[in-house]
Amino acid sequence: MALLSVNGINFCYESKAVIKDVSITLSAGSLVGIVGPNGGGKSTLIKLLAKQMMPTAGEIVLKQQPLSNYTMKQLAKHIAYLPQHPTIPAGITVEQLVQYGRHPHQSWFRQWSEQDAEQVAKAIQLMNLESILDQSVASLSGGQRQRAWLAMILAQDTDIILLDEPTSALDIGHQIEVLESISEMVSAGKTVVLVIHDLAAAARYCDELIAIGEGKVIASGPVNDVITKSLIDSLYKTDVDIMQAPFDHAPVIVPRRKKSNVVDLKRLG
Amino acid sequence: MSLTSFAKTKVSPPLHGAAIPTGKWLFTWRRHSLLLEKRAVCIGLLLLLALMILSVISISVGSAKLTPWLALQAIFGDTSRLIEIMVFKIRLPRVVAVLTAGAAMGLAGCLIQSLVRNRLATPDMIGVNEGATLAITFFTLYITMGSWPWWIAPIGAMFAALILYFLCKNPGEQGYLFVVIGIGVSELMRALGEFLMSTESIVHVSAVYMWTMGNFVGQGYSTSLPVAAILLALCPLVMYFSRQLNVLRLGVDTAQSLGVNVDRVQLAILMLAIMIAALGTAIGGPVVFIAMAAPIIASYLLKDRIVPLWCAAILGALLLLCSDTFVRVLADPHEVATGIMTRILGGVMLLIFLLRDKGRAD
Repeated sequence: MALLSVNGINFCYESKAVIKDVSITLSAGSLVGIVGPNGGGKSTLIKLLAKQMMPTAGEIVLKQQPLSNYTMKQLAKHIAYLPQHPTIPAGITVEQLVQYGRHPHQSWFRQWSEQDAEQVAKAIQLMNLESILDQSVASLSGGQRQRAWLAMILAQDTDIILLDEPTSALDIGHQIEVLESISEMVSAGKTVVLVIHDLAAAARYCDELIAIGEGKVIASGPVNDVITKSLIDSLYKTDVDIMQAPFDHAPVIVPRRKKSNVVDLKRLG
Repeated sequence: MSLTSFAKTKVSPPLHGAAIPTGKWLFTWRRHSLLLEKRAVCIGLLLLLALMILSVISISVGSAKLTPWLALQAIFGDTSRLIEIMVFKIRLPRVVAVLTAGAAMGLAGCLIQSLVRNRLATPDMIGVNEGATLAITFFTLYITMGSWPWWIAPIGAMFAALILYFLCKNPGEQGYLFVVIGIGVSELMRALGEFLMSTESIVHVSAVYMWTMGNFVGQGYSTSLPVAAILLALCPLVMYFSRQLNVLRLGVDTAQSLGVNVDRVQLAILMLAIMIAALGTAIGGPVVFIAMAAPIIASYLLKDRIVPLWCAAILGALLLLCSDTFVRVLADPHEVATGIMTRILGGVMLLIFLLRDKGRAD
């Protein structure tokens, strides 16, 4: 049974079509990566899934109900979304940030419950934040900061987690730290969709990939069906070689130089 | 007991992240629960105490000095008729007017600053107070003729906010566009008010003019009490939206994904802030500085942990009462508008703020 299905959605921004007739289904418990070139509509798609914006046409169905039927508060109990550049308020500690994740489950007359405490503690444990709970989020390293945000999202206790480029500004060490944390979330039973630029990391960590180019789904399915030379060539308009990583044979994508440059260099040499 | 059996009795490791959020008090009653920020409560109470002491001092100083003790006695009705008249007819009304206006400015400033996430975005900067001033000037000169039309202030403020909205639908990066265009709207409103006054003879408009400078001389209960009553009635609404306002600190998109209906909440908070600022303005005119300074100081005192709505309100009252008392003592026997004092303080504060920002921009 599909947890979330997208049925032929379109989205126009200032009369320009950004998303064109996209249909995808999301099954429970998987880690799905959205890949594709800059400006291809990846972020827009994930924002539409999070109901940050409404599609111009078509429908997104969550648990047999169209997304438009949910209020923001109801939806926040099913879908958590982490934007690419979330604002960090001055002076906020890691613990406080994680507690914000409980907001959709609270009300004015019910500001803190057993479940709140339990979910916050679980999220902190899963993301390994015990030692930095009282530090201010702004003072953390990129990887720690991203883990703190992931813990907030986890505390929200939703089935679906949407992440917009959670690893984009990180060096490889912090990138692995965050991707491992995301794998932890999937092992804990979450369905995660993330926008990701690094194809090698996407291939290694995701169960399925969706390749988006010019607002359309170019390919989707298991990693090996999507990461093929012809597909990557046409998606990024670049010649690439696909190799295998020595450690686990995961595909590694190596772009070639443009031919003209190589010729120029030879002439110079 | 053997070591092994001791090890067995050990239960699962304690969950980290404490059952009760750090730095908060948790009150529960059946399925209901309430969290209070310890620091905010303590500092709020201390500020209230300071406010009470300052009020007594303010009542006792002036051209005819009283000891604070005598002032207290007078409040509890145990002095001569003369002192009683001075305290109850002159000084206490002024203190009540100043406290009400100051609290309104502090609260409204904190609401708008937090909403726009820019310390420069205060009701006096974005034209809301000047809109209220213009409406009152117009009504008192041409329509109500003398009786003080405090009730028109929210409409004038709303009018200024509408102009701002049509000129700047997108608040821009950190609300800077909003602030810059707001300054323009503010100037326009001020110019219109001054034009209105210039069409009348100076004798006729001198009281209004003094008021537009920010003046609490002779502001009796007839304005401050109804304003205070409306402000108190608005407090539950402010309290209701304070939770969402705290979540909005995480940015619009994150707040939305945490279930906040951002458009509706922003509109509601903005309307509340405009109402509160306008009512505050209606008492003693468009006093600057308070709405910017009170929330900044309150945030500093609370270490930025939460949006310091109530502390900002109390601090607003405290700052305005300080300025008013100071100006009264300093200028004695003349009357100098309180707004001039706050304008000087505000100018210095604004410069410090902009110079600090300049350092960051470099």
